[in-house]
Amino acid sequence: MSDGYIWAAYTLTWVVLVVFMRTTVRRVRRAENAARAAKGER
Amino acid sequence: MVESQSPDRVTDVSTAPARVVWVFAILAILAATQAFGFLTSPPDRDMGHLQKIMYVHVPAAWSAFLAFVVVLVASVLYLWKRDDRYDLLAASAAEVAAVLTALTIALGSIWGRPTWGVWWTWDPRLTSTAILLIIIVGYLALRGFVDEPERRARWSAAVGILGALNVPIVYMSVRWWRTLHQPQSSPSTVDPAYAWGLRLNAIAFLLVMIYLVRARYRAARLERIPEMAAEREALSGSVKDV
Repeated sequence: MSDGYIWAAYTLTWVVLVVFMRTTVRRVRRAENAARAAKGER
Repeated sequence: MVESQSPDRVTDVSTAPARVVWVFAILAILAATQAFGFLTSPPDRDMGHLQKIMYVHVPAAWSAFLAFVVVLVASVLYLWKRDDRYDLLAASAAEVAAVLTALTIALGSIWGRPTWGVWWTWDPRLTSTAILLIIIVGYLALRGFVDEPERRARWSAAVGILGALNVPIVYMSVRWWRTLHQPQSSPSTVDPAYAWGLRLNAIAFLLVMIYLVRARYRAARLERIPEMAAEREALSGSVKDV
């Protein structure tokens, strides 16, 4: 019975961390492109 | 207000870092430390295998606390130096602290249901952690509401310091008040069989936290470049009009 709670805890951890890291990487990429454009490096 | 004009390592966009490699390396370390925890720790006398939730719940809480320390230091430095970079660092750490605090509460709830019989109770540790989450969400909301950058930075530094001052209360709540929550878990208070699993998972979470704060700070700095260019353009346009 405890297995379900353990699975839920680890799945939640991975989903939250992977999604947050992914959105962070995308935000950095967007910011880099915008900064490059602003500096005239199109 | 001091504004960095010259490009530095953070705002230099000419060399794209191997971001994805870092992400995969950190996630691989996290997976390895979790596997170590699973493979080396015997079932707990009272909780059985539910003890394994400690390897995500406790490191998430510690990483959140450390992110709050970054918010505190950066906020104090902003109020002292009035340098925008400290404000952006505090905001980046606050975003990470908010996610890790919410994760800590959710994991604690998942752990609490089979061990205490309830998903949530108004226990001092849980309540003080919920207050911490409300303060940091308020911090992020405040940043969204205030447009004027200097005022936004000053007000959010005050809220950031207030939030971080709540961290010792959360940490000590299990000693100061009668609570359902067990005393603070650390390698010195848990059974030696669990100490290394806890240490290694804490290091893995720390790496995740450092990566996220650094990357979000870098993004925040880069986002200022087009804003500053637009401000300069607007200023030069208004000078020409005069």
